[in-house]
Amino acid sequence: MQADDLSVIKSVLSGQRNDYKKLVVRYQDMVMSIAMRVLQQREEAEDIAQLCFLKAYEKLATFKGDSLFSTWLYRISYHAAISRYRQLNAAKAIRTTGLSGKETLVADESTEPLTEGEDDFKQLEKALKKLDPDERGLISLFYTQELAVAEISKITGLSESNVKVKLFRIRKKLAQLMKEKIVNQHTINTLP
Amino acid sequence: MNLNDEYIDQLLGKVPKEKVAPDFADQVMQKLEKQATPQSIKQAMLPERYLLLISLLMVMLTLVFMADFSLINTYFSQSVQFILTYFQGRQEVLPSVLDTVRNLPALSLVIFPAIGLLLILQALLQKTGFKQAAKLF
Repeated sequence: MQADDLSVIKSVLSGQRNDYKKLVVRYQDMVMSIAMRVLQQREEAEDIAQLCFLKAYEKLATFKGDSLFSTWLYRISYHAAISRYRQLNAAKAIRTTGLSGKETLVADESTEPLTEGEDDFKQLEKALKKLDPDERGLISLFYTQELAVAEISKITGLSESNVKVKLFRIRKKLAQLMKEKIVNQHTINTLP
Repeated sequence: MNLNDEYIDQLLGKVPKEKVAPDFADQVMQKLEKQATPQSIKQAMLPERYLLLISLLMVMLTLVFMADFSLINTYFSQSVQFILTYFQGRQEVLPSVLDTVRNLPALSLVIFPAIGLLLILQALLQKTGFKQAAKLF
């Protein structure tokens, strides 16, 4: 795959701009998965995925082939999605700041309660929304894209041991979130 | 529900990959078509780059003239003298240069950092302009 990517890149850089579409088609779902997992909004995720490809095209000449093209693209996608999430969050915080200057809590789409009768997978999806964007990004890279810790380390800029520790903590956090929500919901439901 | 690590692992493994819209790649390519290549932007901006530098230099010279005309006078006269001396092949070139430096007013110390700042400003304006033109992040 890498050899094929490199030949496409060479072709694009030599002026065959349309060949870039091959790379877009090959990696579009991968980029979209990361963007969607981090941003949790389809439109925003598509926008950022497109921007990632445009950015990658613009910087294509700087890709030296030291790493896989996919790793390079993952890196752009991961950081762009997190950066976009922070921008959106900051804008949302400004919109909800009252005249007093005190920030009011933003009603998040992730406040849907988890219920015991629900499918475990649905509960997990809801719990995932409670994670920080970089944590969701890590989940996407490790579980959805099935990347090795070493590759995730290159993408995120974290050390390998830090990636492992973070993944461990995220699993614990998810389990805790799912347990807490179910207990809370159960308590509410049993109130007289 | 048994929420141990293994079970969470299994659940996370089932998270599906997202699919883009069917025309996603076409949309990207359309945007690429609209977007000029970085090389063409650079070429298009080349004359502007020099115009920017020249105009900034003119502004700086004007400011210096306004600040102290005698400074420029000293610079020019000493420079001309140095060049003449150099071409005449006299041996006392070095002492004359040192003399020139010694005689320069204290304000001249500002000139060299000012030139450096000017170049940095020009590079910054250039970079910002380039980014805006490329419509990138």
